[in-house]
Amino acid sequence: MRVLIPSPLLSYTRVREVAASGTTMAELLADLDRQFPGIRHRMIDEQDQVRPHMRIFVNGEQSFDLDQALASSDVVQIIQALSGG
Amino acid sequence: MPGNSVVIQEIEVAEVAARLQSGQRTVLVDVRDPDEHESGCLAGALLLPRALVARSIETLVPDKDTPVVAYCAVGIRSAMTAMTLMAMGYTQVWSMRGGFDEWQRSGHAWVVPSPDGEAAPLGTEQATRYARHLRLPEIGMAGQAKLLAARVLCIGAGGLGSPTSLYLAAAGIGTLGIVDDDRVELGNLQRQIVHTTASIGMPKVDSAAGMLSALNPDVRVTRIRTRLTAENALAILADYDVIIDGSDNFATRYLVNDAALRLGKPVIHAAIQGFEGQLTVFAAAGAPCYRCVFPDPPPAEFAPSCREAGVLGVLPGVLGVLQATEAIKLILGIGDNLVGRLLSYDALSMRFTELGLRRDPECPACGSGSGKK
Repeated sequence: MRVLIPSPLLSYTRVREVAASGTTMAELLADLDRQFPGIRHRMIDEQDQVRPHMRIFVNGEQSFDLDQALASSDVVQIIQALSGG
Repeated sequence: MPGNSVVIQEIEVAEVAARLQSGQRTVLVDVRDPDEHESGCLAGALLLPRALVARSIETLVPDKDTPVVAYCAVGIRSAMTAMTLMAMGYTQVWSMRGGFDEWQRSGHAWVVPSPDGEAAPLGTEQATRYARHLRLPEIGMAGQAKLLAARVLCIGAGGLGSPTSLYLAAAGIGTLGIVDDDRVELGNLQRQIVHTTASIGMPKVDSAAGMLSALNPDVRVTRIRTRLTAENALAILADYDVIIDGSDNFATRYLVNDAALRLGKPVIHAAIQGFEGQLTVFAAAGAPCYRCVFPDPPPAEFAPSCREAGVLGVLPGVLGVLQATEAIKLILGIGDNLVGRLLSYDALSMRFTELGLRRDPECPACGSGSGKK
């Protein structure tokens, strides 16, 4: 599925949009981490919670649940709080 | 058709203006359609669309020796009307050459009739300055009056604050407060377009105030040359109707959120980095606030400033103009605002995506967690 990467994580992927797979959010994040080692840790803390400055959206709706089922047609967008003005 | 023709008498706009100024008895008849009339007309003009002239003129102007000046947009419909009136026996009838368009072009005063039929005067210069707003049914005279009475606070006179304040000033926001404690630097000018090369070294609030006043002298610019702190935030925000967050650090963003929540003020939020921008509105009780969306800032090592990470110069232009748009809509009470929605913009792919935001019932600022702070 399509995954949109925020500016602060471009150092991992180099590109704004990547393809990854998984039937759940947890699997998707694991696949992203296989492709781009270290990226999962930037999004998910040691308690398997989405870090409070990162937000994950599936088809435009916010997702907090790593068990959330995903379909290959879903679009996942990750954002990070930005401070620049 | 010689012999049958009626000679239409045309009158120049300057002559009409002179007649009105000298107090010569003159009935002005606006023969345009009501929507044209409502967007602006000569003071005291009777609205009588051309199709109704023959039926109604004798009721409105019973004395057929009354001097009548008919006008339309460019002078064609009024010429036909003048013919009709002469055929009906009116003895002193003129069609204003060039119509209302020529009247405006010549810089003569005009007014916008208010919904109750009374003409609400706007200074000639204001009527011209805001003419494109006055023509919009969503704004009109009543909306422009709201803008002129509005008080908007821009937090930051930087990348976002520059375009936001410029467009708000241009729109005629009556009072613009600018909070910033920095001075203009050469490295700002790639994006901070309210400042100029000549203002390098000046306090940003002074530089911005000069530019905004030059753009629109109607705007009262309040310079607040300080850094927003927990001590002064409530007092500063309290004086304004709408808060624009164009700050450049997380501490100020959380401070703006918390103070605005306490005061019940809407915040138009935007943030940028690189080629990416985010925009939303925090405004309504029961809707998400900034802490609902991002409960904590990122660790410093993962949150580089624009100075460190870089930013496309035009990026804050896009986001700042959208902030100004949301502020104007909020003041006017028109359209749908971005409460509960985050607009994410990627300049490289030229893609806007809309993301639904959720309120956190446990939010330490606006939810049940707020008492625990």
